[in-house]
Amino acid sequence: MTGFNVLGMRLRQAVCENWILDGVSVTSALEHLGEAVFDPELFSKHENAIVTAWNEANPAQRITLKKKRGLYGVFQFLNLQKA
Amino acid sequence: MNKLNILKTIRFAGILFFMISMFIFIFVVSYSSFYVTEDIIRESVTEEHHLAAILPMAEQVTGKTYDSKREIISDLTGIMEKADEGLSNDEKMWSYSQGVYRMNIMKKSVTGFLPGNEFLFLWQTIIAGCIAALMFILPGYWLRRPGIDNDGVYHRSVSNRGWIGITLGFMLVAFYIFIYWYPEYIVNWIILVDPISMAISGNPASQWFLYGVLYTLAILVMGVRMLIRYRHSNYHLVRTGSVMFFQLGFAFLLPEILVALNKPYYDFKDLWPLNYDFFYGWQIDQFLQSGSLGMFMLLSGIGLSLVGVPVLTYFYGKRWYCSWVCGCGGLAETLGDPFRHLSDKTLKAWKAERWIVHGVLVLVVVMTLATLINYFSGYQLLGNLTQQLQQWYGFFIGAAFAGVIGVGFYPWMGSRVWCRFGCPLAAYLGLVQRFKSRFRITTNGGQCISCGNCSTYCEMGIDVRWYAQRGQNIIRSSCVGCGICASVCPRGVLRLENGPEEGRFNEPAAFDLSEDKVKVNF
Ligand code: SF4
Ligand code: SF4
Repeated sequence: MTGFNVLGMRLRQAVCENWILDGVSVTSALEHLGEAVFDPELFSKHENAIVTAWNEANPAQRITLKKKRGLYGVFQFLNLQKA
Repeated sequence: MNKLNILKTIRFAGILFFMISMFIFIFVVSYSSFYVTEDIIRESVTEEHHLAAILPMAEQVTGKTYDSKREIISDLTGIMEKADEGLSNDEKMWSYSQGVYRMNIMKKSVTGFLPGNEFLFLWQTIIAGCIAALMFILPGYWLRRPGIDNDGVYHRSVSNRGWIGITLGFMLVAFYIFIYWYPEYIVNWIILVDPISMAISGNPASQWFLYGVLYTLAILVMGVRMLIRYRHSNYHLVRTGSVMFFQLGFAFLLPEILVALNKPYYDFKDLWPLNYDFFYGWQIDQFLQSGSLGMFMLLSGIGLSLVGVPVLTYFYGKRWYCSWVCGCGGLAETLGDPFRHLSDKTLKAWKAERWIVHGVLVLVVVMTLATLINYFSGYQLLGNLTQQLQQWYGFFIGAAFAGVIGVGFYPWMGSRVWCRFGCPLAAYLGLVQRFKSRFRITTNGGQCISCGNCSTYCEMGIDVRWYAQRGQNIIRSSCVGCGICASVCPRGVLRLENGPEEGRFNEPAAFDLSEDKVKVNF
């Protein structure tokens, strides 16, 4: 993972930054996309559509969306990175 | 004609029709011709002993045509004052009943074009006004694309303290002054809504019913505008729908239905300390005398104020009330939306705000405690001191601040003057939000481009940009969570969130630059 083009979606900068620093793979980032979502509350979610599109384009590297861990998970992830 | 021109023509016609109905509305109220008869007095004065005291003097007002409201008001007041002199303290009408009787006598003795044509004029003024406003608002669905568009707010007279805005402000102030202190002068308007009141509760309308009708219509019609304007955002659609629902259902219809069922007039969502008379003696007596429903009202009111408010604010921030439920907030978020950018963002305003709003909170707590002590001691301890406190509070805070300034100053100081500077419930919710809550507006790292849109459109006068530039979360007691700052941000920097308390007050992040990267300290 070297950079992002989020096409108008809003992603959480701190999460994205950590992904880049950690050099996580595209598949892992996609699987955990829920953690980076920064769209306003009550907006429709796009993670499923993105993962489905990925799977259609890359049948060899099928991924499944990890359940969104909620804000608490996001903060845990960020604190883990800091420590 | 193409579609665009048709829509623009409809808009223009809407403005025209609105002006016409406003004109008729003002014409209706300015017309005065009264003819009082003894029968009218008999019908209007409902207490036997009051009637007995008034009737001997009835001749002074009956049998002649009054062409001025001032004259008939002063004559009616004259005979009632006289009548009161002959009555013992327990029997007196005092100014309250005098006002009710005077209003009812005047309503029935209006002559001229109005009697018999109430529906026609209701249609020509209030209903036509709403239709005209919707003719202006609805084409916006096709004329504006979804998304934020604030072009020209500082170039329009109405939204930039121009002459239209200032005129509107004066009219609102005048309207509130009449409603609170001179309702007899707008008796013709009250006659217009009489049929509606009779249909809902079976009682003739008072000035408060007129006020409720206009207030609710303002929220509904301008709510439609909000729904169109922010239709790209589910957050705004849901919360606008919510305030419209609570105003129509809980604030307007339910209390009237309760009255129709012979139950106390009560708005379940109007919480103490905003609803400052909740603990007044007469109110508590009324609850206690109304059986299990009255008990439920009393307990739900206390429970919501003392437990519901802190718990819900802990989980969602004060927005659950201020921009989803409250009537004052509802008006600010609908009728007030075109004026939101007029709020004062200076540090001086913030300092004044904290003194004033917390001062009102202290005042209302002291007044309520004194009232309760007095109530439970059988009015032995403090005599009529509490009554005077209540009168002062009702006059200065309840009427002058919340009504006249709170709404009348929309076009001058923005839509949340009362919520920001005066509302004791907002102060209480704010204390919880500031010190013990999961709510915050998260700033997304170093993405802010310092455009200042967020601060401009914050109706509470919070300098959101100051936080965003520093990469710091916005945690302010005054934030009502309207979510507009997040919507107007061109970079999507801000997000309203309910998260774990830990890490809520983050360190400012965006300024931490080093040679090879922007470092974000979380
Ligand atoms: S800070 Fe944002 S959400 Fe809070 S009151 Fe201001 S504009 Fe609304
Ligand atoms: S609107 Fe967004 S980009 Fe503009 S100053 Fe506010 S946070 Fe920064």
